[in-house]
Amino acid sequence: MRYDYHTRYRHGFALLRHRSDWIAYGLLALVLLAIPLFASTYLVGELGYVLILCVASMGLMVLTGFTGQVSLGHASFVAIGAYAHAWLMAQGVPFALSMPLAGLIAAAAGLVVGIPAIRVSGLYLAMVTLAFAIVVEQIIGMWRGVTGGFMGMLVETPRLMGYSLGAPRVFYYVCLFVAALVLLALANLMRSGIGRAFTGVRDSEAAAFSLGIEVNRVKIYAFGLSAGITGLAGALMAHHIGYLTPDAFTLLLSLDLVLMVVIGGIGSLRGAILGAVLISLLPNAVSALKALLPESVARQSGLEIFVAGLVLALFVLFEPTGLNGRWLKLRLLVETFPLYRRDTFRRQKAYMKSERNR
Amino acid sequence: MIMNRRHMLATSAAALALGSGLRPARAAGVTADEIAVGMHIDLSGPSAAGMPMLRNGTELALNAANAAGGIHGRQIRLIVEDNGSQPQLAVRAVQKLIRSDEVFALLNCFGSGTNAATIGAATEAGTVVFAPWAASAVMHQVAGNSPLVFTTVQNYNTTTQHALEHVIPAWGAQRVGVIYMEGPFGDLIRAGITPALESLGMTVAAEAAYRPGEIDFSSQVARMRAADVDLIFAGTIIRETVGVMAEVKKLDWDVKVLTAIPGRGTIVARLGGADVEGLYGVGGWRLHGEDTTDAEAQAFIGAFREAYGMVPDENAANAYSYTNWFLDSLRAAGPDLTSDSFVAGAQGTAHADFTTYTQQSFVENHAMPELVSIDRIVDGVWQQQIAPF
Repeated sequence: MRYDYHTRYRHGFALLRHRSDWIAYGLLALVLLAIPLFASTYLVGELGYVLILCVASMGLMVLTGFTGQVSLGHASFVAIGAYAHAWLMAQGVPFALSMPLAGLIAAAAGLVVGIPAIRVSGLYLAMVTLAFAIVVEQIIGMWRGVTGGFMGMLVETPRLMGYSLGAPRVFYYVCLFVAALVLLALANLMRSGIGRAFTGVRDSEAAAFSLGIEVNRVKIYAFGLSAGITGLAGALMAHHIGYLTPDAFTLLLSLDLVLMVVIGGIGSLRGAILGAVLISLLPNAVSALKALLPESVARQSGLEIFVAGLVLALFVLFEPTGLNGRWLKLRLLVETFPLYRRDTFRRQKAYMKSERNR
Repeated sequence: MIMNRRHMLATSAAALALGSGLRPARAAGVTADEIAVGMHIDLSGPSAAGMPMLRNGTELALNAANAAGGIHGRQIRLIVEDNGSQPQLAVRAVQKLIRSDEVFALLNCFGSGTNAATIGAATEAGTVVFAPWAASAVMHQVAGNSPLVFTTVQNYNTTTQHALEHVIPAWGAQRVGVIYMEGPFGDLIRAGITPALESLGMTVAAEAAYRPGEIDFSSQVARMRAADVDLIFAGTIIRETVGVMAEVKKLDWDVKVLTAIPGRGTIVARLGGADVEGLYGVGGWRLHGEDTTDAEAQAFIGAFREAYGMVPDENAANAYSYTNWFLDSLRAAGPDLTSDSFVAGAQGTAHADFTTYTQQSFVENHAMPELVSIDRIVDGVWQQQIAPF
């Protein structure tokens, strides 16, 4: 067991509170930095994509996990980020400037969606965001001058200070940098006033309002922030795909993002990352699994969907708190062994009935 | 300090990029006794139901070649990956095929968006892309006219234009209406209709769009009726073709309906039944039913049924045909197989079998000539009305 003994206020809100945290995250950072030096190009490319999805997943986590607003249309923010970035780069805007601009454009779109979204919640909000996604997909298809329409547009190779960032090993570092930056920014944000306001709105809008939090404004902020981060992921995604067509950003991607957040564990950044890793590596796992199965089973069409569905169903049934919840339990089990109490994680907070289905 | 670190990172990154570019030139995926070939198709997405035909047709041709001793003593190993009809997944699948499996060529890969997203990376890595099931002109454009890309799928725009320029005068059509799908397919179809009508000094009398997934075509057909057209060109795929015809039949309207290449399939005739009786279609390849008299087609259908226990459709036949062309190109490339020798081999190989209208060869790496026929559904079967032109 470990007890905190704080001698300064700063200790209370440090991001990494213990020496063991510093060692663990330091090692993780070292491994992530060193991977391209010894892993195969293929593996590095895959990890780059996983990192992109981590960013997108963290973006949705801000909205769904922290602020409690559902969105079935986050693929459209990925799309807006991707197309904005590709278009800006085609206009000659340098990569380092185009990325944040793409994020800002997506954030602006998020603010626009946020305005109707503050008037509805729950299922209705899901429908509004879904409708937005469909509208965006159509606009991308129709706006030929900017997006190349359904035929698509080519994304230029990223360049920074004259160096090409297009090679998989180099692009991996770009993804890692953005992912780390977003993670740090969000981790800090969640400890700040606006972060606390997000959580307040999620847990009880009435209570938050009575404490002086402007619920509507906070919701719109959350939409903008979430869309902006997802847009950043979209800008990276543009380089991953290399050639943008509207079918890269369909409902399937939105659903994948929602799954990442839910499977990972609502309300935690670690969950967003774990969920993104799991969902994005699932196809690889199925592909590897196929090699082990007898030919007659492996050739069945639909095996991919079946395995993905099975994993999700098992999670929902047996670990509703997601990967993050499982991780916390495992960690506590190790830390307190042999004194682990199962009831530690029993939910104690009782919601008002009127709040439960919002 | 920060500048230093950033500078260091940039230089080391540049060194890495340089290092990866300096690998010696070689033919990936080719060993003394094996050629690895990759294929990415939609195993988990919206088109998954049609994929077994594509895959089995490809496999059947490769297995036959392997059983006959391979190509110049090399057996061909096919690696199939899932692209889910999503470009992101296709990019990963192709990265795996190129970097991990180190395939020599990508064969019969499915989907326009998926191929567009991956074809550039594939040709950059020196991988041959043969017969992508996608809009051919777009493929060459995206790949920057790379010599490694060989397309066999008919261009819907040029074939539509060709067919209309022939049919409109032949039928004496005065007012032409167009029903098209919003999206890449509709764009291509209209890119063929506009120049065809222009060259005949006509304009489109009425135009109606539909969205993918729509099942009711009453408003589109009503608009055609209101414009009093005498030829409806239906840029429709399977269900939509049936839907348009059903509406025309419901109105008891005697108008010619001509559908583009994707609508002229056996499945349309089977699905539509009495509704599609009398429908005209632009044909890009020969269709064979189970009762075909063509010996080569009979042999294919028999072998397919024996191997997979099902009757092949035209997708299976086309996949089989394209794969055989690929195999012939490998043969022509000679025992010293590199991507350069393959390109030379493929460009020098002509192809004709039970699916093609005439002998084809690669002109600027696209299968030419693109002959089209005009077929009509009579008694539930497509019958040729105008011979390939």
